[in-house]
Amino acid sequence: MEVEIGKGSNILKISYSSENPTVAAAMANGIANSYIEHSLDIRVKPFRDAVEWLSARMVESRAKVEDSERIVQGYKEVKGIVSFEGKENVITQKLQELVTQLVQTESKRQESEVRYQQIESVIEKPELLATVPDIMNNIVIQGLRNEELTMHKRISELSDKYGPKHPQMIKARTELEAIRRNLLSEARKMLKAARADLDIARGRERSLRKAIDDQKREVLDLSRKAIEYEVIAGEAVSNRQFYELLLKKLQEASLSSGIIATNVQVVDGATVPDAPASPRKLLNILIASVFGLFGGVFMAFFVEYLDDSIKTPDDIESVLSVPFLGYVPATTQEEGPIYMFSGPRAAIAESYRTIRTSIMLSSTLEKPLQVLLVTSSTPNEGKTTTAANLAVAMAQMGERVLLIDTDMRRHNLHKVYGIDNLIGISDLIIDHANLDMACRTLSHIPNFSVITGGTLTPNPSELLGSNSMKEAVAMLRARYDRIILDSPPVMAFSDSLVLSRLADGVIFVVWGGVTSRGHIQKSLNAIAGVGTRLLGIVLNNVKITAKAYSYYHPYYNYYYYGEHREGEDKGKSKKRSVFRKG
Amino acid sequence: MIDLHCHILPGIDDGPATMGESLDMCRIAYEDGIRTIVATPHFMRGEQEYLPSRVRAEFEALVTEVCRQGIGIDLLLGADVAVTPETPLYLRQVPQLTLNGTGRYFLAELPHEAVPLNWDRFLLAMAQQGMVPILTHPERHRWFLKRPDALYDFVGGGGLVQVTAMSLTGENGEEVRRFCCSLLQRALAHVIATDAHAPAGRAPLLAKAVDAAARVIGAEEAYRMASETPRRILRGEMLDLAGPRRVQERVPWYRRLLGA
Repeated sequence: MEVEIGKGSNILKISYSSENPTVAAAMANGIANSYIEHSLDIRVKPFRDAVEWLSARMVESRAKVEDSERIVQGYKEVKGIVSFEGKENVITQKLQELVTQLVQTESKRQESEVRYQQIESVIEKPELLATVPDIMNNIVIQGLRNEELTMHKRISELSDKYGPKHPQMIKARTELEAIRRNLLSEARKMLKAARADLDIARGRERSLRKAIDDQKREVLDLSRKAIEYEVIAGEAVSNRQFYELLLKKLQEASLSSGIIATNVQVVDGATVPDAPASPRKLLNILIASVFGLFGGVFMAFFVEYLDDSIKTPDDIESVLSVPFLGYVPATTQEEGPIYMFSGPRAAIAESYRTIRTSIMLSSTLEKPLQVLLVTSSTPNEGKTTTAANLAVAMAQMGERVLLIDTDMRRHNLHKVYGIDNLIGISDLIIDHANLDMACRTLSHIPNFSVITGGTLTPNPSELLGSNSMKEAVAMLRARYDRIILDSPPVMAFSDSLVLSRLADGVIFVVWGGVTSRGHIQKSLNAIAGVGTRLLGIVLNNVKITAKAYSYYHPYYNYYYYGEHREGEDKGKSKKRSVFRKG
Repeated sequence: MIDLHCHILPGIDDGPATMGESLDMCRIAYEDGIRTIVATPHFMRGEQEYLPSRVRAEFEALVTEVCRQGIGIDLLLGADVAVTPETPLYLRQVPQLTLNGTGRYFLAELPHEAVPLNWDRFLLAMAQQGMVPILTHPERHRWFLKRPDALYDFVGGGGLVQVTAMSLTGENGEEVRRFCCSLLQRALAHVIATDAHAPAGRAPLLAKAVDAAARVIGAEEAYRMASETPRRILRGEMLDLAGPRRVQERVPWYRRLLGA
């Protein structure tokens, strides 16, 4: 997975790699979506928390509101109140009315009282009746007064005419008395009425006062209730207001969280790709081939660099700057170690002949190469095999050849030719009388003699460097055309260097592909230090089929032409083996 | 034309096995325009003795047979001499090993495995003694392919060089062909011969190679390499040689780059 932040923009590019294109697309989209969700979560969280908190508060608040309202309602129900405002008004108004009525009733009562006292004060004195306006205003009294007055007038008139005992006068007086009695009774009636009025007024006043007291009590009661209600209702209202506030905030928070959701958007969704992004086969192939090529070339050079052995004839002249005498092809044949008689694989025999030719052509009249030393830098490079075959090759050319095993530490030569090792070079050095016994001839190789290693001695170097050895070699020079010394390796012992003083030339054997250049160079330097002529190098174990031989293709397809034919016609093989080359 | 180097004797070396094959080769050579063939069997001292009498007998037999069959080919005797330190000795002992027995010119074949040290000094020393070596097919040696200048001293000192027809026609590979052309340009080759071994494969054919050489050094000179020069050699006459030419070789850019 890969996320790329666009420069100068807020666009994120999300790439996802998967073996399955559908999965890749789904993953890219899914990551984008979950990123959106996540970023949303981060932004919305405070609001969501707020909403949550508010919701919790809401629940509490709602319960409170409900409680308080229920209390209010219950209060109302218990107290039988629907509304305080109306009731109060009614009660107050009623009180005012009552007070007004009381005032009226009081004034009326006082009026009635005044009238009653007025009437009462005059009631025993009828002459004063007339001073009381109320009585005077009474129509019946007025009528009676008028009659009294009229009677008076008549009595006065009759008194003038008639004496006090005149009937008329008595009648008139009786009449007047009746009128007066009527008037008094009437006044008495009025007093009674006034008294009744007063009583009524008083009763009324009393009841009014009582009503007012009641009303006043009621008003007080109501106002007390109103205060209680006010407290409860106020609480309910504040609860409700708080609840409403919460509700509003909650809505705001919800709305905010809803609005924030649009902050991150998918600009362009991932689609299922048609072709895989990776592996880009062509690119991979290209990279792989480039890396492979460079790696391979590098490895080849590196391996070549590490391997500082000598493999091909060209290495010898170019690297070591030493003459090249010839090479011996690698062989798996069991026919060795003397290849000079071998039939089919004559290439090896040819090799030794060529080496011999190279050596012989280096021989000049001034410096004939009579004694040749065969050595190498390390053991097992093919010294004995080279010396043995070279000696046979020379003998085959008609020279009298002597081969001496001077490797006194590891006698080998007698094994090569299958002869005993009773008297050898060590015995010869010790006693020259052993010369004839030491020089062994082989019946199947004419012109060829061999001296084996002989008795093992503890001090080979001293023996080889002795004058006796010099004298022995000088004696042998007189007897043979060529003397070849097979010697121990240069790097191991000084024997070869000691021997090289006795020789006319040194043949240096290298096992191709194994011996390192450093070893070879050191050995060559050591030989050069002694001063004996280095004829050149014989390269063993050359892989002909692999490299060197291919130089000659296709021209050399006929190289073994004769041999193939030998396989078909064995009768002529002997003759043809003389002329092998194509 | 004259073929100076031909393994035509039956049953002697890796050439034709039977007389019939030898005769076939003669016919093919005749068809190609060759009128003189020098029979040059391999000579190499080894475990078996070379028998001059036997070679001569085979040669006489073939000559008789060619006459009898009426093939218009003149046969002469020589040898393809493998160079060893003893070669001068052998040549003196057996004049038959020199071309047409004149004792003057001989075919000198170097070992294939490796060109021996001092080969040129050795061969020129022989030339000084009156035995002029004709170095056969140097183009066959890797050593020479890598060292074209190695022949200058040899040719300058009086040595002769034979190139093989099939190498000139490109049948032995392009590298070999180019090397041969280079030798012709520098006058480092003097004779074109077939080095034939069989009626098929390595057949005695010269005309094509002469044509190829003609494209390099001109028809006259090319033809001389297969006629006039071999004729003089067979007569044992002196050759008036101009000596090798130094040619500015066109070095390919990649070679120059590599400093090779």
